[in-house]
Formats: sequence, structure tokens, C-alpha cells
Amino acid sequence: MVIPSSPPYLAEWILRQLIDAEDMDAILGDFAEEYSTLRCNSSDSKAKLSYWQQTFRSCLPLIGMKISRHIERSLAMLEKMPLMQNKRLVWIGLAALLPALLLVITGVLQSGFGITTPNDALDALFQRYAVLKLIIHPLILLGGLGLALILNLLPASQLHWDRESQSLSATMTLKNNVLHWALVGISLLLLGIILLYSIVENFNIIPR
Amino acid sequence: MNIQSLTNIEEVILLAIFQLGKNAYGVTIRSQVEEMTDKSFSVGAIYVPLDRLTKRKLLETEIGDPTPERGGRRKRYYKLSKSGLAALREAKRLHDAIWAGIPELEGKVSS
Repeated sequence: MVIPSSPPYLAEWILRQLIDAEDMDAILGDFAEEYSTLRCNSSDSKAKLSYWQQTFRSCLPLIGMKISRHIERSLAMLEKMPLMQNKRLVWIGLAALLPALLLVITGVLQSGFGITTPNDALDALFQRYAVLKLIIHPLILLGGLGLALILNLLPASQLHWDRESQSLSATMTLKNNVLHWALVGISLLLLGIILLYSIVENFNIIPR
Repeated sequence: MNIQSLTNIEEVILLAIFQLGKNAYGVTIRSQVEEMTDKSFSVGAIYVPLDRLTKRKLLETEIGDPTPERGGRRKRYYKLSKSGLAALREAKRLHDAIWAGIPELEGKVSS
């Protein structure tokens, strides 16, 4: 005789959170079948206890399976995305933001973490080859960042203007070019840090 | 055909599915694996290698009909694919080859 299965609600709810929709029938069905068999052969309480035990023992493997599936899906999605529109622009952008990146990293390491070695090495290099000082000239730093920003923003986005009788409307399309957007993000971050540093360094709050 | 290598648990599971024939699904596979290895596996744990083997195309799956003892849920039947069978044969050949030269090891562990 088959006794209709009604396993512990909370345990089943926990399992539902850990199992992918595509596996739900197969795995929850196995749990239910084992529960049902145990209920027939022993008692209701024993079956419930076993269900809980199996749930706890299955948590880690099911979480692991869920995470690995999630990673696989994300990687598959990333593979489908066009990484970049123009390889050359990515490289030029990367080269253009390097001086700012170098300056910010050495600056943050020194003022934030007390690590002076990279900054000292940079100073020694500038003293030895004075011409290299040019790379930290504000024009090169900010110009490079601006160049990297524009060069990567243009291929990753599209602005479309529509002129109607009385109004002008603009539509912006953002493309899935991960590398271009990564460089846009890094450029904006570096600009923000440099701007913040210049404000903190040059403006003092004077108490009245 | 590219023959894939197997871990111990993968080999046991493939062998269990081979032995179970048409009745290989989660519950029966787990029970067979426990019997073969004398180790206990949780219901969820058995699905990790099953999932891996299916992704590697060593196993094929088929959905069965819903049954009342499973709360109306369907079974997922597993069977060996051609690659799975080849991998299992290769595992056996490897075992036979590596054990062929040392038959005297049996029964001499506690000397």
C-alpha cells in the first residue's frame, strides 16, 4: 500500500531553496520516495527524523552544485557577450590611463597603508630620468584619463537624436562590450580619486 | 572516441547504473552505490557526481512518469552513453593492468 507522502514542510522548503528548478522533481521526488518507504516500514516520526537528517547532510553538496551551476551559466553568458568593439581602442585607452593608475596606486599605498617603497622607487626614477616626470604632468594624467574615457565610451554606446516638430529627443544605447565598460569604469574611478585628493589637499575647513 | 578518465566515485556510479539497467534513478543508484562501497551517501550528495557525469556526456537521462510515493514527482532515469561505457571499460582495463603483476597482496595486509 502506498501512503501519500507529507514530509516535514520546513525541511522541504529548505531543500527547495537549494535545488535548481530543473532538478526539483528528481531530487525532491527521491526525498519523498525514501520518506514514504520509511513511513511504511517503520514509523512516522522515524521517517520525519530521517528526512531531516538527509536534508542536513544534503545541504553542502546541493549548495556546491548550485554555485558551480551558477558559475557555469555566468561564464556561458559572458562568452556570448562581445567583449569589445575595437581591440585597438582598448589598448590605446589602457596605455592612456596607465600614468594615472600608477600615480593613484603609489599614492594610495603610501597614504592609506604606509607602504612607501613604490613611491620612493618612482621618485628615484624621476630623479634619474627627469624627462619621465612628464608622465605625472596634470595635462598628461587628466588628458590620458579623458582620452581613455572617450575612446571606450564611444564604441560601447550610441547616441541617437530625433528632431520632431517642437522637440528634440535623444536615445542612448549601451552595448554589451565588457572590456570597454571596464576601462570606462576604471577611468571614472581614477578621475574620482584624483579629484577627491585635490580637494582634500587644497581646501581646508577653517573653524570660526 | 576520446576516452575520459574517471574518479573513484564516478567509476562506482557508472558501474551501479550499468548494473541497474533500466531501473537506474536517484534512489536505486544511491542504494546500489552504498551497497558497493559500504559507505553512506546523502540523497543530495549522489546528484553531484551524477550531474558532473551528465555534463561530461558519459550519462544520458530520461524523465519518467510521476508516481504517488514520490508526491507526484517524476523520476529521472540514467543510462550509460557510448562514451560512458567506453570510460568504464577503460577503467576496468586499467585496474586489471595495474593489479595483474601483484596478486600476492591479497590477504597479506596484517602480517
